[in-house]
Amino acid sequence: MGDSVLIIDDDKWIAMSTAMVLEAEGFHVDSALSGPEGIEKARAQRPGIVLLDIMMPGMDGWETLERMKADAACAPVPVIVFTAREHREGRSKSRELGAVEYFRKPFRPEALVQTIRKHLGTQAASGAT
Amino acid sequence: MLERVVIVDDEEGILALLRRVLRSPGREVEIFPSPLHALPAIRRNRPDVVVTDLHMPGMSGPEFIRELRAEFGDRIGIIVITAFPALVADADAVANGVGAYLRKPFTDLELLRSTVTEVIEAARRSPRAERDAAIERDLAEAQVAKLQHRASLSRADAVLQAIADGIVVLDRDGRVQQLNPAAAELLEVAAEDCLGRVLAEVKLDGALRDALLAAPGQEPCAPRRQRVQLSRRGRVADVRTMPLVTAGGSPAGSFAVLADATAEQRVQELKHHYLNVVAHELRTPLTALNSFASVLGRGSPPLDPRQQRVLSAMEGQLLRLERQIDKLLLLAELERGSAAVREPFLLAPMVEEALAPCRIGAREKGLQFEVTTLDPTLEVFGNADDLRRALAEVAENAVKFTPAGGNVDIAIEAHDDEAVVRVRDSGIGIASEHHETIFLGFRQLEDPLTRAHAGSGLGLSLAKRMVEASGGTIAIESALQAGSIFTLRLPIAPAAVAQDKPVAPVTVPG
Repeated sequence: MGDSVLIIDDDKWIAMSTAMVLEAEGFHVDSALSGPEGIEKARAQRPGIVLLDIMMPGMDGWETLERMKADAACAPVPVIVFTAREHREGRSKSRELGAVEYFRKPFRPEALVQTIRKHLGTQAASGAT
Repeated sequence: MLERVVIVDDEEGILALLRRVLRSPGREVEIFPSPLHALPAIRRNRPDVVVTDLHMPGMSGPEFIRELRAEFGDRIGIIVITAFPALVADADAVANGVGAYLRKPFTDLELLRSTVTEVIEAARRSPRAERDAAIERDLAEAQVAKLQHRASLSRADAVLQAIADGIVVLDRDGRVQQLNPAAAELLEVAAEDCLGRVLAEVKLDGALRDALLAAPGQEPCAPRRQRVQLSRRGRVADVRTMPLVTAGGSPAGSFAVLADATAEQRVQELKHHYLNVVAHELRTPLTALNSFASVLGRGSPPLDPRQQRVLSAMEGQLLRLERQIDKLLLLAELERGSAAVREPFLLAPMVEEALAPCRIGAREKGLQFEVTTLDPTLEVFGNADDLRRALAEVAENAVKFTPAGGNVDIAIEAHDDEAVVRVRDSGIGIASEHHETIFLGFRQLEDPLTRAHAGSGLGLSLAKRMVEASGGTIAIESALQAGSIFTLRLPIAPAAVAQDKPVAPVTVPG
């Protein structure tokens, strides 16, 4: 769905505040509080983009990302990794696993909005060819 | 030294008389009835002088004398007992180097004594005797040296026994030549079960054995360092191995130093884990706060001016908090030594990006801010993110400590294999005694509330570490009230960094 965003983060305050920022910008936002719930929603809803946290209990963000990319139903959905945990290797790892961006928390809300717009735009363009 | 006299005569009376007359506290006298009896004793313990009759059973006097000369040369003085000295002083006797004659019957006992003394002295002065003495001295010295060597060996042994590091020496066939108690403890073996055995066949922790056996290249090289995770009890060991070569350059086995790094590793992991947890726990609410503040600022109806000011101030403080957390974490991360991706990138755009915030800060403060880039196509090798941050820290520092009306100049030049970025300011400067400490970060011991360069905080130490992680260097030239120049040197091509310096190979006598 063109302008829909799925937030996967176990911290409900992150999910809520990020959703408020994005909704104020006119996006449709849904959120999931765990990896498995996120994959399920991504498969069912085919969002325009996914925001994925890394540090989650149980299935962490890396595993969630791998499963999404291995699943035909949600593999095409661009994923932005956003994490509060600093890994200098995180950027390259997220790239390797197929994420389009790596965002560190805290992020500038405007920068996140801009990046989401950029990737929704490319997806729309590549979908047209 | 005790003088030794041997008397050979078949007449018991003469033997008894001569012994009585010649014996003294410094002189030992032995008597024998014939040359055949005397020779074994002479060979066993060479006397200074042999006093002999000429006519005896078994072996004649002249024969005996020739035998002595052949065997001992002039190291033994020879005195002949005869009733007719003039008669026997023939060519033969002289040629055999008879030193003197004692004339029978003995009338002058004093003459007997002095004759023997003279011959002994002459024998002792002879070149061969002197050579012998020299050899004996050398032997004695060698003995002393050997004892001293043994003493120093035992000192080395004591060090080996007591040292906290494990030492393992393998010969070229991989046999254990040395294995000290610390090594035995770490390897969980008994030294005596290992000595002389091929290490590959000793039952050891697999990872540790691999590390120990990894070394013996045939070529002399720098010690190779490995951190090994032991399978048992979660222990960690640092293993440094290097090949041994003989003085002639051929392989002679290997040498390994083992250190128990379990505690160190635990502290490091704990620190890293703790910082990560703190970071995560602080950043998550910070993220939510930023988002909420953003939503508040864009709400409708819009905030009144006072509300807007309060919100801006809150956002400013949130940013400050975020930067502090970032710096702490980045420094911890850099201290942990985790590797950043290094690749070639264009320097000029990176510099522009790094300096953008300082340019604004400088303008607001009323400073001249100039950037001179010579070559827009200049590429350097390193981590662009790190270097951008490092340069931003250095430039921010320059702006912060330069009073209004001053200037900050940044110049980029290329020299051979490095790019040089110079950040020059006309600020308050840094006294030379602080040139080292401003880069120390966590290790800076001064109270942050009283230190001279208040506010510089972790920035410069972060900059130094980030520049070094990319294979570059950072240096400072400054004096109080005379401004500062920070010089960043960045490699243009991939360069080997953070490797052990090559060392001379350890040689063993071969």
